[in-house]
Amino acid sequence: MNEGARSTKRIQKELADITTDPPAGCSAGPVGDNLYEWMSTIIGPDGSPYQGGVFFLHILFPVDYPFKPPKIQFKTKIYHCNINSNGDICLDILKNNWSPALNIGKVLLSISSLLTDPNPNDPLVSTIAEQLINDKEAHDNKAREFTMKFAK
Amino acid sequence: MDKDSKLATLVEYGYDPVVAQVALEQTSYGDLNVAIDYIYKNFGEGSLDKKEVITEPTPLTSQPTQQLNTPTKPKRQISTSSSKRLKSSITVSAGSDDCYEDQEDSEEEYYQDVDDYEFDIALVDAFPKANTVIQSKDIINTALAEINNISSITETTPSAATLLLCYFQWNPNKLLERYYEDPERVVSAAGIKKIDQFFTKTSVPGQMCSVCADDLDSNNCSYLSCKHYSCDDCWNQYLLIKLLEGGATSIPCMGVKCPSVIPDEFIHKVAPNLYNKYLERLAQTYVDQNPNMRWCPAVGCGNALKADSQSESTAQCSCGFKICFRCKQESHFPADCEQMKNWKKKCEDDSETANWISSNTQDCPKCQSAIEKNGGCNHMTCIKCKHEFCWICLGNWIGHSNCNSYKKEENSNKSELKKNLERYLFYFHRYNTHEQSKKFETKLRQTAIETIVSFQNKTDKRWIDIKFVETSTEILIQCRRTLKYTYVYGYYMGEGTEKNLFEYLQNDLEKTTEQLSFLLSQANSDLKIFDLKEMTNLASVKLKHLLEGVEEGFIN
Repeated sequence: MNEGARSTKRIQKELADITTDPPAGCSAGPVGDNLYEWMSTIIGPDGSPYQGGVFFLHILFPVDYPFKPPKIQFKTKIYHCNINSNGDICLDILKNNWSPALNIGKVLLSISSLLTDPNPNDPLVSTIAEQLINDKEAHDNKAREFTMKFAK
Repeated sequence: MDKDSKLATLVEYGYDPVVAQVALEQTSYGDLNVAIDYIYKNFGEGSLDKKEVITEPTPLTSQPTQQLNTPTKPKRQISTSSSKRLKSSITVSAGSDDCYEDQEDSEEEYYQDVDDYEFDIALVDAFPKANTVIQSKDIINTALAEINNISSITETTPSAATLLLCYFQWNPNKLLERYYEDPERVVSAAGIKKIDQFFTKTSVPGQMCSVCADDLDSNNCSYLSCKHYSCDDCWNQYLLIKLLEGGATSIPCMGVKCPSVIPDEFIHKVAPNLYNKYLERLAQTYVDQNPNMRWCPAVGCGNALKADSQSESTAQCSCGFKICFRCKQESHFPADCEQMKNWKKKCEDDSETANWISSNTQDCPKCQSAIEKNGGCNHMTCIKCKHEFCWICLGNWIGHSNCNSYKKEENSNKSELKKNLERYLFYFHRYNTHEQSKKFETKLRQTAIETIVSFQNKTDKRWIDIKFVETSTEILIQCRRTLKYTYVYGYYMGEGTEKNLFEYLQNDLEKTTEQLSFLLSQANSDLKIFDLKEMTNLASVKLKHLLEGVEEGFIN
């Protein structure tokens, strides 16, 4: 089986799975006719400063998927120490710890739990991480403010 | 029959070892008869007879053709010993002169004079060659031997032994010392979490491949004991991507965050077509991670160099390239690594001016025609006006001397910055010129062989003399390399008597190198053995003086 055929088959299966049984608070599907380019939404998890917000993510599958991880970017602005102003996400399973046995549903759930539990020890935006460690309340207020402003 | 025994057999047959070596190399160490045919075709029967010419107690010039056609058993002893000297230390001494007894006095004197010189390449260099060269094809076997050794001593699997060796940077002594202190701690520190059983070509009814979702019920499933099932097709693709990414020693299982590491036997069974790629990567890791090993940086050379001791700073590859073990670049003595780092940074910072200065053409100082340099020699003759000048300082070649020291302009109104730039450009220009000359002259290694072959049929030259072209070329390349880096050394050297003495020796070496370069560039058409030997000797002595001066100080 060549790379293209394998990845197409796999992405089609993932699309079927995620449409019939989407993970909590998430949805995803292709943009237009291109099976390799998806758009996804994550609802801000309850109990987090992102609660109530709807965050859009852009997903790009590489041709050697699932052996290489998908490229995922936040399209909605978000105040988070592991997500920079460009929307890039610092998440281990999207880099070194990617496994071909993962799928987009599991990845979206991981991103959702990253919103609940930011990881200030491995920050992408160090100023936000410092604020989270030193003054969680100010951090959460700022995050809520961003959510209200950009994700609603 | 291996290479050495083939060579030995040819020598046994009475062929000159050097000729035999060339023939074997040219015929890729194939059938001996092919090699012998090659010798007859390219060296004529003269490969045997040439020694006859040498051992014949008649002058070389008399009736050479007749001698050529009379095959007689050569006096092997003489030729073997002289070739041996040529190969090892190039010490040409009076040993072979007995055969010239009946020659005219002048001729005898000629050879004795020349042969009294002692050429010792190892001596010329300031460093001993205490390194081992591992040919590219042998690297993997060396690595596997080490792995198997550790595997049998520690009674672990080869994969675990590989991880242990990687953790200890391929230092088996340190590994075993620590391992016997506390095996469990070492094993967990090395990242050996779980290397155990695996199953290939099995079927697992009712399960799907976790990657492509294919059914796993037709003997296409492989998995480790962590039971992350996948089809062989997906394993193949996964292993290919991981190997292309560069890892060979710790490819994890495909399961999400699974601690299992894929053993090499698994790769061998599941993806036999990728096993060679795996070995290539393993060889790469072996050299990259080993602090005592370096890749030869010469273009197209895949050999690895292993220092025999930790303190080694320079090593030489069998391809002739010399490498500084510390900074992995070309050997840069007399400049040190720190100076080279600063110099390279400076060259990058000043790249615009450096580009300008390194452009290949200069105008003839007399007729202003643009001239491109296409050889290593810096003695230029303008093709239009026949003006002879030095490429470095553009001064007249006749009466030319001392263009290697930077002269400060007195009473000038130039700003400090401009003066600094000029000083830098002065040194850079010379550094770069020698670099370019060296590039041209490295090609002489090939032409030296061609020269040797082309002179084979001309019997008025001794084999040992023709072979000398190779030695001269090596010395010339060494001189060029050293000269190049003396300008980095000089740039960072403080003013004073030391520097004056240094520049004196540098100038001396530079002049001799130019003369040697000129002689060698002419060697193809006009081989002046006597001049060449004299000049090579002179160059090697001057190189030695300069290097010794740098090592031990110039004043003493």
